[in-house]
Amino acid sequence: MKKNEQLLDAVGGIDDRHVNEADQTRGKRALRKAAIRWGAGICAAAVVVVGVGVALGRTPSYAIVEVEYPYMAPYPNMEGSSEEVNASYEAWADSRDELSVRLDDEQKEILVNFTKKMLPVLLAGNDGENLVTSPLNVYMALSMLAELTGGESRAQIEALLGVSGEELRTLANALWRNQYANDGARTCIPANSIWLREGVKWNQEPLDVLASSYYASSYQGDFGSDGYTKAMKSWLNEQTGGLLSDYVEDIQPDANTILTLLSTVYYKTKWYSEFDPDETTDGVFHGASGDVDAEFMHYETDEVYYWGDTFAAVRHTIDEGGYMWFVLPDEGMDFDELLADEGLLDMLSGASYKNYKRLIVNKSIPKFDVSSSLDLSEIMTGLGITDVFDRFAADFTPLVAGDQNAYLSGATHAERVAIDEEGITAASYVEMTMYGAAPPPDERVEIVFDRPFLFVITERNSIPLFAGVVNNP
Amino acid sequence: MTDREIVSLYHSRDESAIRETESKYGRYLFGVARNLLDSEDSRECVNDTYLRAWNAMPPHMPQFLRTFLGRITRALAIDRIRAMNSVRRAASVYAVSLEELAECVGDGDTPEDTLENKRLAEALNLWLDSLSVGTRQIFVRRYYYFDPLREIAADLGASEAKVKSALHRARLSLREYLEREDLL
Repeated sequence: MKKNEQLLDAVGGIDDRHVNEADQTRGKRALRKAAIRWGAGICAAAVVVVGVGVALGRTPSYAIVEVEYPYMAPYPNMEGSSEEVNASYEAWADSRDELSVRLDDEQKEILVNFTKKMLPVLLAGNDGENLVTSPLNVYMALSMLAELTGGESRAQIEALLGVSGEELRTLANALWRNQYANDGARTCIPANSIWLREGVKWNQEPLDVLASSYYASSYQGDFGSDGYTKAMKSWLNEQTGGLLSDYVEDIQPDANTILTLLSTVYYKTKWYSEFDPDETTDGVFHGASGDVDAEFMHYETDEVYYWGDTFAAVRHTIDEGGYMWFVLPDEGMDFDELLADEGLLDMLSGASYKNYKRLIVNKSIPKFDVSSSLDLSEIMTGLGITDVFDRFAADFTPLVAGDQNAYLSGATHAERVAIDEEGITAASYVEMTMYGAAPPPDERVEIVFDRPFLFVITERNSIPLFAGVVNNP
Repeated sequence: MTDREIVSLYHSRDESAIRETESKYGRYLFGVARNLLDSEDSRECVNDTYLRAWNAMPPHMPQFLRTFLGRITRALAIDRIRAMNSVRRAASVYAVSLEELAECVGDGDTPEDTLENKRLAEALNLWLDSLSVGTRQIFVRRYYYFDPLREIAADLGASEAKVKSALHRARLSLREYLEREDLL
């Protein structure tokens, strides 16, 4: 062997830290651009507001419980000596491992069933509007509601959640812990709080449970006062990174409210492989209510292409695990049919789904920023959760004395999801060639999301973090 | 999926490990191979990487899966290019890099009592530590990743001429170091 050849081989054996340090500069042009853009990648927020009204009530005030979120070591820093790099990586990985809880098969099945049941309902009846939902957020909010109720009220909620009592609490806690991330690179904060009316007599116990298992803070004050309303709004804005400020602005608690339960998810992360902004092209999105201009991001790579009876789908990897799925219903197929397709949920949950193939996929996805707000009370009623809304049947006895006539006065769910690009490679806008029930061609496929499509963000849990229908990007 | 999760799939002999690896690192590995090989060879090289990874884990538990895999791809790509006929090889970045590195050690045959690759790599680590961050990044990108000068320059916000001269100085420094340490 020649000396220079041996030297080249030896370069292949240099320390990880040297390789990582150089690796960080690769494609940095694009990364620098990404850093300027606040939303680079995906950001999303969801909130569920559940208000409990009351017919009568008085009594003294209660203390506030403010929870602290678990510590998470910062995302590892590749600068410094190998000891420093190793130490920061270890600290980060350890804090992550400490937080996460492994779900067993039974728990996964419960969540998959909930998703199968809820997704079609939460995204039903879309009449050309954008729709966004967070099944995870709804699950958390309903679990908290179950903790505050008793008797038939609780039984109805638990029937929908598929689990009850201590097991429900354990599962909700695991969901929270698996989802939570705040390491400087990825943010996912499922935040919960309970807002009580001053002067109503509470049982402390369920509030303690909510604090310890759901990381929920509780507050009390006068619902009619500006100060209390303002505090609620600023809590919401803070927890959702201001993403839902338009929606939050409209919140005006009724003076009869005795309790409001706020459940939010704030999510911000980067693509693992960013879309190249230089490749983004202007195009037309054939929306449900006519054509609109949209900016299409393009990405071509060797990846997995999925198809089903009613759809074709690709995914884009999110930094540090997780995927955003883009699902294009077959031409002429409506979303209700798509959402009823068992194959769709099997694909999302990773269950032995067979219709996929590794290909060169050229995908074109419009940048979008979609939001929606929906009345959860109608959906809940439709799914058999009726007693909590009935002022004569509602059972909130774990929380308040039976004579207080507490009942659920409303439940709203609001979300916003926005994505944008960043990355490298060259791809051009090409009309799609094939979707749906047939397998894709051998080598290469183009898929253009230029008409209404479904997106789903899945992470470590067997329940989508966000899902939505984009009718108008 | 995190690296740890993927690695644990390998360790539990779960074939989805390969799929997850492809999904997370396929593009990166293709890029590593593609600097040396054409598309078709690169794709094969990346596929060979997965096989190697499958055979290597267990026992390996790489801390940085990305780097672990990239290293395999790099070695496989070099193997492939060495097996090519001289005409094709001469036209490659590999040949250019070899020529450049001959400035440090010449292109004579290695002596009989040749140094273990590992020991030479350790010496390189020490030498790399003595460089400025910028020069070190340039050197690694050029001779580890075989990145084109134009890309290195663009990413570091420098001119190509500046990158070239930094590489030149680095090679002189490496030559001195290797002579002083009596290596190669």
